[in-house]
Amino acid sequence: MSTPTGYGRMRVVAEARREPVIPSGVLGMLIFVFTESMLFAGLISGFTIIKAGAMIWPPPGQPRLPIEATAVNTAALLASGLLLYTARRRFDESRSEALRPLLLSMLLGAFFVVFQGAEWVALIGQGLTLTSSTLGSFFYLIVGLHALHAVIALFVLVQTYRRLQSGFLASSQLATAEVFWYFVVGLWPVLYAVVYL
Amino acid sequence: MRAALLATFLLLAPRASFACAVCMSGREEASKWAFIATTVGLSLLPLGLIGGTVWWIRRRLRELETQEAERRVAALRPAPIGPKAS
Repeated sequence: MSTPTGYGRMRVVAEARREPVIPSGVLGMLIFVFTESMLFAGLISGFTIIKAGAMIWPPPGQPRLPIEATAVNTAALLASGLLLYTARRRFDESRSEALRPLLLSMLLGAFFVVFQGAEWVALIGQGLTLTSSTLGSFFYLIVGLHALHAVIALFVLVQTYRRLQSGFLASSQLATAEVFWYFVVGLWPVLYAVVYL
Repeated sequence: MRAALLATFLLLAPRASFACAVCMSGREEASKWAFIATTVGLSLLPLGLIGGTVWWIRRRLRELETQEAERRVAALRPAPIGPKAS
């Protein structure tokens, strides 16, 4: 009897396990994350080319971006990602044990979003607006789009937490939320390096 | 060998094309490098994303196969004989 390969092998395994190789939610989220990655890649490319072609950077009369304060915020977001990873590990062992790291992960994510908002208020006060320069336009577009993703991902995490609390959270649902949050966390250091440094 | 020679020739042969936005848009060195770097990034990113997913699916398949094999071996193993309930 020959051993099935490729799609046949995938079907044999899936049928034997009665479990999909990739849960539908995770696959859908992966496709979404891929398209969003390309969107951000396009924006980063545009910003890099504009920055390289500029005679003076940052443009005259524009404030300096808060590199140090944002580094702290970056650390908070990375810690949030690590806590979500811890939550997954604990979820696999004992579901109730995952509640605390998941809550802490959400709180750090919320801290990141609030801190970003405060930073924006300060920058607008210093004269960096959407129409003040190319730096302002790209800054609010790229960082704002990331913040929008962070807010939506936070809602997903809140929903995940509520399901876990009520005992109705499936492993695949946690995996779907993980994919989204890891995208938000993983993308940020790249944006920080490109836009802030 | 012939294919390697042909590939080398194809890599060395092209010069800057006037219809190429990457070659012609940047007038200064910094701009040129920005165009080249972003072109490389945008070309490789989708390949990396798809490649990474394929690698992950293969790994997951192996995991599921191992689990299934272990389950089958456990099912074939005779049950331990314990004390009879009176």
